[in-house]
Formats: sequence, C-alpha cells, structure tokens
Amino acid sequence: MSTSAFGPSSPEGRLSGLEFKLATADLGNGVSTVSVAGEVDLATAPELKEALTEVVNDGARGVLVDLSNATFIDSTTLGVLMGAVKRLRPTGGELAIACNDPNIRKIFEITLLDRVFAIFDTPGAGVEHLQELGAATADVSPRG
Amino acid sequence: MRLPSSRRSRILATARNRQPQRTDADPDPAGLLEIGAVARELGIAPSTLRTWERRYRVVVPQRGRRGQRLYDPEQVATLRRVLAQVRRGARASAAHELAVIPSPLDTASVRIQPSMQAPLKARQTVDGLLGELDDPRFAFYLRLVASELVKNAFLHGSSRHPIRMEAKLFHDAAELRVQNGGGRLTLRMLRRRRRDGGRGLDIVDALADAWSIDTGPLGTTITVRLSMAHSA
Repeated sequence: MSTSAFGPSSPEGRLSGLEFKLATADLGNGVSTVSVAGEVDLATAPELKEALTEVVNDGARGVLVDLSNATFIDSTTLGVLMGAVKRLRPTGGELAIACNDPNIRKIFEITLLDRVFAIFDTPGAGVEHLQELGAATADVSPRG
Repeated sequence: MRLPSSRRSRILATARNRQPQRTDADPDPAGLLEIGAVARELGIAPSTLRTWERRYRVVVPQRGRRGQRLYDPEQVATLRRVLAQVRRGARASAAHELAVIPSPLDTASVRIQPSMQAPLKARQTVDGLLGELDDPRFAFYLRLVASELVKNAFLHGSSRHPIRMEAKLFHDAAELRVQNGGGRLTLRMLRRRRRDGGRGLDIVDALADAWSIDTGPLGTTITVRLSMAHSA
C-alpha cells in the first residue's frame, strides 16, 4: 500500500478558512482512496480532478472518495466525481463515496447522484465494498 | 396714494414669490414625498391613499410641519406593491398584508471580482452575515446557494464587470441577490451550457423557497429566498 499524505494545498486552498487538502492511498487489489479535507469548489475541484485522474491512470478500478473531512462541496465537485465515474465504468470500475455529513449527503440526494454513487458512512465500509466488488469481478473475469 | 387693486395684487403676488419657500414644502433630502406626488407617481387618487391609510394602517406617513403627509421611499415602494396586487385583482386588505416585508436583521453587500475565487468570497460574505447564528444546516445551504449563484455569475457573466452580491438575513429566512454584467442570460441558456450538468441550478431550485431571474442586455440578477424552516 502506498500513500500520499495531505500535500501542500494550492494558493486557492490557502485562501479558504477551511484549508483544502488532498491525500491518496493505493490499498492494493486495484482499490485506491482519495481523501479530501476542507472546501471543494470551483477553485479547488481541479486538484481533486487531477488526483482522481492519476489514481485511475495508475490502474485503480475501485476508487473511494473520502469526504469525511470535507466541509463543503458544490456542483463543480459533483461534475468532477461524475467525470471519474465515466473514466472508471468502461473498465468495470466503480467510484464510491464515504461521507457522514448530512448536509453534504443532501447534495447527492438533491441531484439524484445518490443513485449513481454508493455512499457509505465510513471509509472502512466503502473500502470493504470496493474490495468485495473487485474480488467478485476478478472471479468472473477471463483468465489466462 | 392708494394703488389700483390690480396693481396691489401683482405686488403682493411678487412679494409672496420672493418669500423663502417653506423648507417642509421642498423636496426632502431624505426623499420624502407629499401625497400628491406619491399619487401621481402611482397613478391613483390621493383619496385612495388616505383611505388605505385609515383602513389598513400599513403605510402611515409621517407628518410635516403643516400636517401634510410625507412618504419615505420605502413606504412608496410598499404602496407600489399593494397597488400591483390590487391591479391583479387582490382585495386591498389582502394586498396590504402581502405587501408587508419585514426589515432584515442584517445586510451584507459586496462587489466581487470575477475569478475562480469568487464563490469563496461569496461564502465568506455569508459567514460574516450569519455571525453567531446557531443553525449549521441553514448556514450550509445559504453558503452553498451563494457559492453556486456567484459561480454562475462568474462563468456566464461579463469578466469585465464585478459581481454584486447582496445578502439579507431575516429572523426566519435569508435573501440573496446576485447581479452580473454581460448579455442577457435565460434559464434555458444556463441549463443548455451545462458546465456542471446544470446541477448548480438544480441545487438552488431544491433549496430555495422562491427564486427569480431578471435578465436584460446589461446583465442578469438572480434573487433567491431561503427559509430556515425549509432547510430544517
């Protein structure tokens, strides 16, 4: 498992009272997490997009976006998450969300994206789901 | 020598004209208008204004030194709303009830430079307005709506004109007004551009009690009202 701790935030992130930070971790078996802290908006969402593109390009088929420490997301964030879903689906991959903030979860409900993403209260539950999914996919995938 | 009466009249008239005009008859610096001016502006009879005042007591003008009614701009605006309701067919009594708009507890007004940071500035303005208000859910939704409106203004409006945002906090609600320069924008255009799949407007629509868009060749203003009860 390799991890990239919350790195230095962008100049845009530093302007925010609630600093935007990102961290990625490769948990093995094609599962990666992208953890977000602070506020994700028009200025900071491009960093999230870049992190998601990177983990998908590195071969992740199950990606958990951990919003446990996110304090704000907006429609731009949703657009970035949808973009990652579109990159994952052709390979049978899945994007899951970990979020226990009812206000943030409400945004997914309003936009009906709670039907697109599997949303979990804890990162552990999300990772478990993705690992099970990965194992199931591996069972049925062609071998040789 | 006694002057002919016609000559006396002319001199008296001239003398009256030279007298300094009474200050309370001047257009007031605070914008106070007498009943005749208000009636002309609204296109109704002064007697109607007096009747409404007597019956409904919603707009009670202050009195000048001569006892004349003096209406301030806010009262004229209220009367204009009453009149609009009446012309749509409402009874005057009901129209008066509808026209009463409570005064905000606090107001914040900012000019935001169009940039990627604009939504953040909008949220910070809301933070300043809300202060110590202990309603995290309402605060979250108000920040979100402000952020989405200002983001739209930045993405679709003129990059040369600042975005204006006014936020008013009432005891049970808030009102946001975001104005941007640039050409006419319609809801259809905003949705068609779909930079975020139109989800920003979906969010605003779902969280707002009421909202309106006023667009023209010089810019667009979106006004949104959110109630605390709605966000509960």
